[in-house]
Amino acid sequence: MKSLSLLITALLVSALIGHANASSAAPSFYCDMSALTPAERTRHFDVLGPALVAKRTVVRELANGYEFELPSDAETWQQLAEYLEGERRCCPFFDIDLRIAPHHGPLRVRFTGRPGVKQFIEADAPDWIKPVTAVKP
Amino acid sequence: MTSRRSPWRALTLFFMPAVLGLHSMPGLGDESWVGKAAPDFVLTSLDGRRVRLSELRGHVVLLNFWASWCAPCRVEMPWLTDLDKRLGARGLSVLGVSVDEPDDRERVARFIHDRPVGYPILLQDETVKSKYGGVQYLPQTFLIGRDGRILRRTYGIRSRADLEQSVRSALGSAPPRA
Repeated sequence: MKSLSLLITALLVSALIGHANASSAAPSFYCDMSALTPAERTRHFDVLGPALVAKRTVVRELANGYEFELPSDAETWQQLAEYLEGERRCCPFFDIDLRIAPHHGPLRVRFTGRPGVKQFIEADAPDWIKPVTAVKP
Repeated sequence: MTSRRSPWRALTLFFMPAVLGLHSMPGLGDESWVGKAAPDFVLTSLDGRRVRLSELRGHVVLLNFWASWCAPCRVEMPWLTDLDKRLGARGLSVLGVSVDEPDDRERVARFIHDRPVGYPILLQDETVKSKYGGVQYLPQTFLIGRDGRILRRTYGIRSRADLEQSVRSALGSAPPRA
């Protein structure tokens, strides 16, 4: 019985150490190949992404990511919802907040996450974070 | 009928998924590949050359599976170019294998034209993907030693320093062949 307890203790310690190592070694960023079909990828990256980039009205730098404001018309809402669904599946490292301001105010979407997310956005998504030159009504 | 269960049993059951799940977590090195001979292949590069992996025996090879739509891949590619440039003379060869759809050759070509890299870009076929475990997560990188055996397999990107450290360790393991 004592040896069984020792064995279980050893297993638990191993699990804890392994979990700690796994946490520190886990990658920050990866894509899941099976998350989107080729057709969904084309729509996500070639259609929805550029359309939303063009509609940004505000870009807000945060300590750990970026926030964007978009108009709250029905088309933008549908595009954004579809886009975020793709991001959620394809790029699960983002922590995404979506806020709908009251009284038909703007849509606010915030991309944050684990340390490095902000630098990741800056390295890969310059179109998203470039300043909005003309504020649209 | 009930029984009073040992707290050890409860704790063991609680932590067991963590133990069993470690190897399935994206990003962790998959130890089951380490020490195995890297599956050989012949692939065509974007510029039309045939590249055979086994012809690089004696080099340390970073075999990087990527796709043009994969954001982490795009972030990592300049790191690979830099490593290839700085450590190529010490025996490092970087190979990028695009897993974009076969119909997307032009898209890959445009991508590389816009973001040039200093190493060969190969166009995948399903056989190679399959030989390397299906490549579900991107980027996926195999570090292959001078003897053609896999030293490390990683998913996703961690840090540039981590990547360089593992490459330097592999390069230091044996002198380059003449």
